[in-house]
Amino acid sequence: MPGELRQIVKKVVRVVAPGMLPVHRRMPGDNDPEPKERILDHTVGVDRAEYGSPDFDSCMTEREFTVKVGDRTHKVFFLVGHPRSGTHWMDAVLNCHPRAMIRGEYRFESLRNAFDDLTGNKWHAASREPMRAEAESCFAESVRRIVAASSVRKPGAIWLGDRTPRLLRVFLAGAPHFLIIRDPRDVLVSLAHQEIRNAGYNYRTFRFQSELGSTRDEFLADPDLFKKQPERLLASERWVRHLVRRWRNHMRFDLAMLKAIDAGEVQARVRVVRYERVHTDPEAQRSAMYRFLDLNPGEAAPLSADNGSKPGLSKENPHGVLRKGAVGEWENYFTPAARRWFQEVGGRTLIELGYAKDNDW
Amino acid sequence: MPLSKSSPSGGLLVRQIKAAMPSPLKAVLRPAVRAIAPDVPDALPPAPTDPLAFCDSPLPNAWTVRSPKTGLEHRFFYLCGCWKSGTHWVQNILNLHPQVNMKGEYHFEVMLRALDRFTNPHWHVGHGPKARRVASRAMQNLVRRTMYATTRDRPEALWLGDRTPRHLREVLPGAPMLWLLRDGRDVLVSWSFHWLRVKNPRVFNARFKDQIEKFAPEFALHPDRFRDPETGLLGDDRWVRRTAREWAGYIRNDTAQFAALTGAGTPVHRVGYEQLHASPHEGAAEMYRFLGLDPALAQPLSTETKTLPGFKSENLKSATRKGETGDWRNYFNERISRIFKEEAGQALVDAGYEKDLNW
Repeated sequence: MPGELRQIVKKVVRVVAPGMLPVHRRMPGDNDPEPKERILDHTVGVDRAEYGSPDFDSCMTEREFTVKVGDRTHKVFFLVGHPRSGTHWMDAVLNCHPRAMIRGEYRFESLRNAFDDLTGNKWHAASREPMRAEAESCFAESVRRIVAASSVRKPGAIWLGDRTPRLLRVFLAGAPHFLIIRDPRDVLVSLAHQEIRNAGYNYRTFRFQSELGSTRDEFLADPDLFKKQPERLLASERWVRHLVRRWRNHMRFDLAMLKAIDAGEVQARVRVVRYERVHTDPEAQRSAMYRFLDLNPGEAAPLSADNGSKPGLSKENPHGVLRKGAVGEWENYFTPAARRWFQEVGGRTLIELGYAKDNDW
Repeated sequence: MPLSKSSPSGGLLVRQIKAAMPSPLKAVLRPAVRAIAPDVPDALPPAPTDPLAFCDSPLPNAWTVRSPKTGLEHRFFYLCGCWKSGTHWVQNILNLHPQVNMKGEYHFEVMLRALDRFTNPHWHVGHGPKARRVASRAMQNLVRRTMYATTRDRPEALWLGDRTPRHLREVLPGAPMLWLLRDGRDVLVSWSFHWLRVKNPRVFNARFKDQIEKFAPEFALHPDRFRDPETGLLGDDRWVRRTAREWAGYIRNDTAQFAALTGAGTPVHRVGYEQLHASPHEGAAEMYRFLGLDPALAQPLSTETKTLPGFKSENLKSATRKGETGDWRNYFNERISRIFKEEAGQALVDAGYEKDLNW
């Protein structure tokens, strides 16, 4: 088929039968059923909050995550989590401390993926030593230098952080990580708002225009659409199953990584932060976060609505990046059908995280 | 004492002024402010004990480094072009010169694309001018260090090269490049045999995995059967169309890049596979001279070094199968010609291989 004709046919198929077109950007395991086995033998962030060990060689030497800028020495940390889990909020909380500065989003994973390609294929020159080791060292140096470039903004900060909603992958050995976890049903509500508003990554890449296009038009015209008709936010089965599957695979990857870190297979320290706990007891939780970085909580500025560090927002903004920041709001949006779709795709992972005792919710 | 952004008081003052100033005014004043208030230094380079630290301080350009141990200046260069266009052959020729060391495919283009993604969406921190500059420099350091690390087997080499079949694109700003072109019809034939002999078809395109896996066992036993253009990948219209389209994409992109790069002062030497085939000694000498090297110092082209055109005998199962020009005539039938013309006929004319579509 000539190129122009093929393009026309593609456009028609995209509208008439979007499922017929191949989707290339899938996460590993996207279409697999939810595994029955638990990954951890405890509830993450509830029974335990910290993983890894400060006694790991990389954690003790601090070499891999330390960078010098002029006469100052900084250390690098990371804040990660599933999108719409509160990374912006934790960013604001951490920035209340004068010795910590965190910015986002850097998205080093795009560089890391390319780097893995550069060194991972056997016919690539950098897959062999000594080129491979040199490239690996350069990648870590790149991460440190890029983060250090921000240090001018807060010269008193010892810790420089990257806040990126992404998988828990360790790019600098030994570096401290915060992993924020939020009730995925609230995540889903928040994510659906944002994706529909912005025609976001999932909406575009997985071709939801035909199913959600008219809803999106209405939402753009009326920000209160889903407040008035909450059942419409999660009305599409493919939409709900897709978002839950993405969340589930993301979370299972993170849980498996926590297990690997705890076993010392990957050297790092992780503090798990539960969104709801910070909401309930922000002072105790943020103190623990500062202490995780060996910082004195007493030096931190008070939480404030002005810099977004206080839990929740005073007013809901359905079109905003920071929409509401509420806990348990999902109950307003989940229809019986949406609950069933969620339970079928991610119910076990929800239970493993301790957000439900069983699938009877 | 100059106002320094790195001092606490200076930093606060600068931030307050910046916050109060409209963006257009900031853009106008930025060069002057940078001159009197030097930016905070970037992260310090690695400790002096690092044997390759000098690769982070190239002089006088981004593609030249001086080894403190030997005092030698080493320069980096790149060989680009579509796959199956003779990059292996040209690498072998260049390596005949004692001052050249070219070591395979690095595929830095994956890092360049990642850098684009890292720096381009406006909500990424890497989009900011300083982060972008630091990220770009860090990537250049990675390139120089990784390539320099290859020189241990030939430390006297002054030119260190990367031979990656890829689009023409600058890796280190201003670094010399060799641009290799070959008739797309020969590329198609060569590419079609190439994928029947590789062990891991997933690396190319999942779309053709089934066909490749279907033909590969038979090809391993009876490669001669695949001389029939209705057999194997050449018998698949989709394969022919896609390969022709990709080759045409190379011609379009690289032609535009060639003009842009040479216009900006980057030295790019165009090497025609067919011209090199016809006059290999002259072609080799031109390449050496392009790098400022004396051709007389190079070893002669020879069959043993696989630097003379073509091969003694055709080996359908080898990465270097035949090395012929015009071999496509033995494989192209009406169907293949028609599809190729639809997808790459104009590119063939633009690249100078045909005057029109009447072939």
